[in-house]
Amino acid sequence: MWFKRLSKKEGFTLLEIMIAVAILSIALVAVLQNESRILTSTYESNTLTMVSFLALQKMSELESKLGKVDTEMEGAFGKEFPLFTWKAEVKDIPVPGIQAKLLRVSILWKEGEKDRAFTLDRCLSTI
Amino acid sequence: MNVTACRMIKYKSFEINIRSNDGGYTLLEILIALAIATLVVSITYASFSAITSRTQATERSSRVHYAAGIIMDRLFLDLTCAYMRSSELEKDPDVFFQFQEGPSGTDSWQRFSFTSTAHLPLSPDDPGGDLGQISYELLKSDTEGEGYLLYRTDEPLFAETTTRKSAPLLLSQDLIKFSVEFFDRDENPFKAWDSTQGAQLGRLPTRITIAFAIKGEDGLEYPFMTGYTLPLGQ
Repeated sequence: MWFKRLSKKEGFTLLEIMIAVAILSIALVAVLQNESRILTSTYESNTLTMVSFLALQKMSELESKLGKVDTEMEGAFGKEFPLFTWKAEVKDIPVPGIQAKLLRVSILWKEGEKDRAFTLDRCLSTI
Repeated sequence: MNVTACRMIKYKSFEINIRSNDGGYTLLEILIALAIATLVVSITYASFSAITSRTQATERSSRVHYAAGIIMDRLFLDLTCAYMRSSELEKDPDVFFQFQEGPSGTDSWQRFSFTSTAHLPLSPDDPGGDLGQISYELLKSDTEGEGYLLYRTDEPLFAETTTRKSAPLLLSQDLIKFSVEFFDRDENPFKAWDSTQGAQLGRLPTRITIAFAIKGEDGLEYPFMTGYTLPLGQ
């Protein structure tokens, strides 16, 4: 038994120490990974909060211009939001008897190398 | 003093000799082990402290986004429920929609009051469910710095209660550059709105754009912008 060996003052073998260190580092890596996952999702939630506000603003603007806008539009948000652009499209809703259009607003931004988008749809009456 | 130090050194070298003869660690081995341990510990510490500082930054930014969410959600509910009864305007001086622009040259305003169905019954003797006059006030912060405080007051219009007016509720602090823009049906922009007189008599704006920034504890400015369409806006 290990405690018998201890009492004989033999100490741990190198293999035992290596295994202990390996287990410890796996545990540490798991903790760090968890932490970084929490950070990523908090960052994500912050960004989405901001972006959903922008999408609402663009949606309300295009909604009141609906009769006058093209089927596809895009633009930027000005110097306060240099990282974000928007794209919008107006589609007919292919259901007979319904006089409505689908307005889709997407907010686009880059996260590192990745292209990100947040899309908001609204169904609007055209009468 | 010198004598004891000398003795200690002698004692230590004696000890080291004895142990290495015994098949223990040599001084060189211990030094190498220490060096490796220091390296590992310093790498671990560096990555931990990097993560800690990033966590703190994310937490600060989170608090700012949470505060912005509270303002935007409250404004969204209150404004999309904004109420106007244009046909009976003379009988209803209590029903209005007013936004006073701040003094020129400042990026703020003072008072934004309107009638809304989004009245919150905040006092126990208020049955709720009535029209309310909702006011937002932007006040300069008492402490140093350029921040503003946003207060919301909510007063039921028809409730027969003794304590009618609710105390101002602090919605957010550290606000900077708060701007509100109104648009009529023809998409003309307005910096102020007053439904009690002039061209805007008895009318609500069609849509509103709200933009502000919050100064975080880290000194960074976090800009936010949103906009709402008013269902009763004509």
